[in-house]
Amino acid sequence: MSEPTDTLALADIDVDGALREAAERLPTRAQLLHRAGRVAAAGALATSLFPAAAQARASKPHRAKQADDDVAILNFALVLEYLQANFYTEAERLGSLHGALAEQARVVGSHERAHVKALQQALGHAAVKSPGFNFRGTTDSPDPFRATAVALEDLTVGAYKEQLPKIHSNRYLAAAVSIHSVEARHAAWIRYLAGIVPAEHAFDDAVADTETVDIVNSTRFVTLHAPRTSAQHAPAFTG
Amino acid sequence: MKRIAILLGGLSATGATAAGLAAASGSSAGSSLSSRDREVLEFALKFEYLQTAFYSQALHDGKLTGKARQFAQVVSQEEQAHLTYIKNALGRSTGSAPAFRFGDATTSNAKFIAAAVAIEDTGVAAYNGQAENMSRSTLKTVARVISVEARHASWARSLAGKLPAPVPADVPISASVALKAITPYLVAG
Repeated sequence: MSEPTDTLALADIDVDGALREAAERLPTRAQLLHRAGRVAAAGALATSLFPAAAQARASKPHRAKQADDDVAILNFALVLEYLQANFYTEAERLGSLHGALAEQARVVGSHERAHVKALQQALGHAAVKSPGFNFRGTTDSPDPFRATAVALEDLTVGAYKEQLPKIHSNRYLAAAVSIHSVEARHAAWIRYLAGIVPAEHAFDDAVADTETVDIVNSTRFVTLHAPRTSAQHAPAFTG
Repeated sequence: MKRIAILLGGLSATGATAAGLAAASGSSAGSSLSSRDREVLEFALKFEYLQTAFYSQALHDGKLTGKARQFAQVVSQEEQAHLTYIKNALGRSTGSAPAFRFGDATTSNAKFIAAAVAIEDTGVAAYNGQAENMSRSTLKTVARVISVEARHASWARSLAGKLPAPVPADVPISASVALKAITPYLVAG
């Protein structure tokens, strides 16, 4: 399924693609600290996203900025979920996995697709579209699949953990923590199947957004191409 | 331990240095906690005491073999680290450990794994249920533990032959439901 090498040039140009774009909209720590003392203009995006809320909060424009921050955080998570959902969906479609590994891909894939759908629904029109993906052969045989799944799941746990304290809305927070712990279950599951310690450390560290972006970009899985996988035909991924 | 002291910086607006010093000197790292945060952390402490006692008992009884024993050894150490971490987050004296009884749950691999699944799944649901009740800075501290509890739950379920991640989103439980769930293990004081 891998594309010929000469068509990778376009993907290479987009190494700073969808995920970095999402990351750049995330609130920095400094912004969060100064938020309270700053009068932010009410964002048109937030108003259209949360019309009722925007009305109620008309006298508190910083609330609109908080809503913008949450949208950025959820979109960042959505791109990571697109990545994972496409990875498992493609592995399942190619049918090269068997036994416990095939079961893991099938169940975890269904979870990641559910996460995509939940985030898209929460974001409404503000949801970013899925980029294209090229998994470069990691979905068509067990060994690279396993290694890649361990890396993706461990990274997602750290990436979500970084977002949790930055989420303003308690409703979004409740959803994010419930996904965060499931990603950790996924990570331990694939580690168990790979024969490595499922819980290697007493503490899981958060992964900074820039680091998450760098790690994902280093895989060159995210491309400008329209999805070439089954995701192309799955309405759930098209927003 | 050094890592823990540094990470306690998340609790303090003045950052890692002050918290690190506080932890090193044994003074109260948690003195600036709100009563709500303190309440959540004391609730978390109860779970960490339970888990630590459970794995210590299992290893002490010496009935576990193979993968179950390896699981108990790794997880026991991690729960011990969590206990110390939550105590440090609370800062001041936190009272003595509750007494627990585990019946025959530590007497065979199968019984031990079944109890471990219940205890770890309950721990994850209980921690998730408290996310909205704590400040974001305390959440930042506690989230480092939550995902490891989820890894333990997943691992125990793998050993039990159950789906490690049965649902796409873990269902949270309230503090009262969580406490009720662990009541059978508590020795009435």
